[in-house]
Amino acid sequence: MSEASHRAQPPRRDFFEKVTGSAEFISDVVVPGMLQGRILRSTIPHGRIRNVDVSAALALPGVEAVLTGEDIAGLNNHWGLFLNDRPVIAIDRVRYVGEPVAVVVAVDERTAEDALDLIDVDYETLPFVTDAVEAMAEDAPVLHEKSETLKDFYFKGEAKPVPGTNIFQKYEYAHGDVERAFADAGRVFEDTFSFPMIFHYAMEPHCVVASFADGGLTLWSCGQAPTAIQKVLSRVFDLPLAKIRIITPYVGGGFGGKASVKIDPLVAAAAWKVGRPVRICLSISESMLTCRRLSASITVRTGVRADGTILGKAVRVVMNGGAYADTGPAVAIKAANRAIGPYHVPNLKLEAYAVYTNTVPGAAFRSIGGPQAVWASESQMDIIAGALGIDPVELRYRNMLKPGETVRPDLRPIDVDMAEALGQASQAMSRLDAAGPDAGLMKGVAVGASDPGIMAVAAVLVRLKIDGSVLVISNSVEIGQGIREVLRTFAAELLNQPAEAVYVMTPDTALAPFDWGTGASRSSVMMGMAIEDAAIDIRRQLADMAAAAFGVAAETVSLCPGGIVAGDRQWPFAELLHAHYGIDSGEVIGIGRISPHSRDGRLMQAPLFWETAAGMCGVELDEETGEVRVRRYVSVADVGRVLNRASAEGQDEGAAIQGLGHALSEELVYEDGQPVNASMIDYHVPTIDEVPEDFLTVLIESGTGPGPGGARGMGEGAILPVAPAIANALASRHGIRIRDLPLTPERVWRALQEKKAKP
Amino acid sequence: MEFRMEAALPHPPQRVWPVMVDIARIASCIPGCEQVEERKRLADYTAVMKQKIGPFKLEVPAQITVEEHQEPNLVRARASGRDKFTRTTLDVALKVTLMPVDGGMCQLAVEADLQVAGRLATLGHSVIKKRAEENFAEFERRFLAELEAI
Repeated sequence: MSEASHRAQPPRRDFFEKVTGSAEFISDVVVPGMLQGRILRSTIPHGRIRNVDVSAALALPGVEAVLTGEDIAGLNNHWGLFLNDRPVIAIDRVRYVGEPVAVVVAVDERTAEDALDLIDVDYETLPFVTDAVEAMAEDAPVLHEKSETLKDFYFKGEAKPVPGTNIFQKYEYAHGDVERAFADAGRVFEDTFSFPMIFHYAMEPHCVVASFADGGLTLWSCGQAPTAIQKVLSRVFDLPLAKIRIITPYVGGGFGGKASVKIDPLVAAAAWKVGRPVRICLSISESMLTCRRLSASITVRTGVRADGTILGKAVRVVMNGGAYADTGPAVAIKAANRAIGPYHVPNLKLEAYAVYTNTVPGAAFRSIGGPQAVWASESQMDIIAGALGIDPVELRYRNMLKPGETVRPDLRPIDVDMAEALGQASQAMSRLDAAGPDAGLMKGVAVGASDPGIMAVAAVLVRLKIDGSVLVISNSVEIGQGIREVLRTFAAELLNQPAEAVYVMTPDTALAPFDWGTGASRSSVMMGMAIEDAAIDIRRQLADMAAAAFGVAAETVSLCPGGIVAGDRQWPFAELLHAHYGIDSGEVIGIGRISPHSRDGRLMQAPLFWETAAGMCGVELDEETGEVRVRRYVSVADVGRVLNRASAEGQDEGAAIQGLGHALSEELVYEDGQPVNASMIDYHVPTIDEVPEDFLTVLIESGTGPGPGGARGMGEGAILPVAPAIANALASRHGIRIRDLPLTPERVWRALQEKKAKP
Repeated sequence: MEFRMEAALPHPPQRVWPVMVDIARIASCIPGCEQVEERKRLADYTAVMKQKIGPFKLEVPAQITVEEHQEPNLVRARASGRDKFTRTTLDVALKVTLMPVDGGMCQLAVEADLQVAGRLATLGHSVIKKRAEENFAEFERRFLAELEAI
């Protein structure tokens, strides 16, 4: 356990700004001359646009311009992350209900909204498909006639679409001989599970302000990956990267819904068309029509010996990627990997497809593909345990990987002790049971192991001022997870300065060096390593200055609060920098750069670290109504090192409660091609009433992560075990095995009735 | 969205049929159905449907085309229109059958496949379905009253 975690921590600086209302979010940004945009969206799931008549809208007083597909003919008007498949705005075709068809730019939002009703769109409807399996059928309507893949564009690698079909990613992997393993196995279990589309439900909907000036473009964006936005906009508008500036104020939650690129090209195109700054702030309902988690159908075949030893596993994943690929190709690969589990699987076959459908585009979402995969694989572990008469926890122990063993030989060996995590979960649940015994609760357990898709590309600038204050400049986005405080903590620790002296700047691509983005649990580790290097850089510069100015041996110089120390002598920064620069002013700039070659190439192998979780629940079921209540929940994660206890626990709890929503109520429903519950009224996320009364987060500090002091990423793992743990609890007591999420009262009640009818 | 609604009527199909194709009389039975015009008998009609569903007030000028009829048992028709205020588009394929049942009665069955696109669709199908069922119940009441007069 690190010393730093025991230091008294000052409260997170952003908390004060947020509770006093002084924190600036994108929707607070005001740019002189700024107009407001509202979006007209497709009402049909699939069709050709015959005509868009905007004349009546343009005639409305206060309307400055209307952007439609016709306007963007001169731009590089398609973009994407894996496939160049998405138009900036619908050009001649719409592919899902909610696709932007026109943007009205007006003096205020109300006028823009009123003008939307005056736009007349003439559609020719086309056959549509909203289900992924149906979209793979031979006679299914094809959404995209051609595919242009973008290699190494955002993630390393490229998608493998199947031409002439809706399949935009086909992924296969194998080691060993799975069919032979099945032949040798005493039992082969085959189960198919489904997982619905889920909305991110960030408190702050998507909001962007765009402004063209001085031959360049400035965006105030809510995006989690400012440099990806910069890159896409550079291509769309044919502008040099150096003339595109992305500023990212506080973001009110993202969970992947603001990862990579979302509405930024559209807002920029509106500003480009009207020649003035434009702000577009979506409603939550519109954000629901912007992106969502990929739904999935996952079939798992597992061959086991009578003692429960896994001999082979074959996983087939079909994911509904929606109308545009976005990062769906990566989600499909991760879903396949994350279905393996932290188990020894000597023979393995993975097959994953991501498929276009006429639905809202799929996108990254907290542990991409993870909850879908773990829902299937961990539900099946209990099915196997039940069939073999082995305790579910014991079955997991029998197959669990030890640290240093591999999930797949081409991936980094697992670097956490999953058996310890599972043991800690059992112990913690026992503590809760002892504190408030309730024999009526059903218990369920699940574990998850995910391989974060971290690109080891990051950099930071650390500016040490003459007065001892420190400014950290990076593109890591504060999205609620507490990264600014992490940067402050690391800079203070690694420069040996008081945290109060350290300030963290709002990300701005014009000032901060390139960073891949904020996601995949990467920022604490990547930026931590970059700050390590920046601190070394600063110390070296100060040591050289001290050697020249005071005649001390450079290698003896180290930093102390407010200055430097060499042997028994100490100088404040002011004295050193004054001596060096000749005036009583100045600073030292440290640069930290991380690439796959850093740390002697140790960052090259994927994943950079494993993110894992063990979850255990105590559940109550109302047999009359089918309502499930999770009364107790224990979440265990090896986070390497706790940097800020309140934030780390908050991240873990937040992930688990988000998982509770996935488990019990959340689902974006489509009927006749229409999303019928895309509103805050009809889409239910857990409220405080549904949160378990007893919730315990156990953070293991193994100190084995690659970040400073052994830190590893966190905040995503805890979402993985929740749904299967609950379903396993229901199966253990009532013998009902539900294979489709969410576990709504109706679904559970029907399963109970079915069980009673044929026990 | 598919519906099937049925009603028992106290006359054989031969007696119900003339009322069903008497456009003024049948229109008066359909809640919110106004300004019906017969352009071509048993072929082309126009009407305006007025409805309040949830927070929306709809006014839909509709084209109605009879695609098939078999006197006195079957009418197959298609109606489509777009609401003036919310620009919701409605497309409905209708199959109306009158089948004789014992005792000189008949069974009216309406099968409808409705496609809703636009703001109304965001209300969800349960709301729309409930309104359709309420309307059919009202239609049944008025139609029975109309049939009492024959």
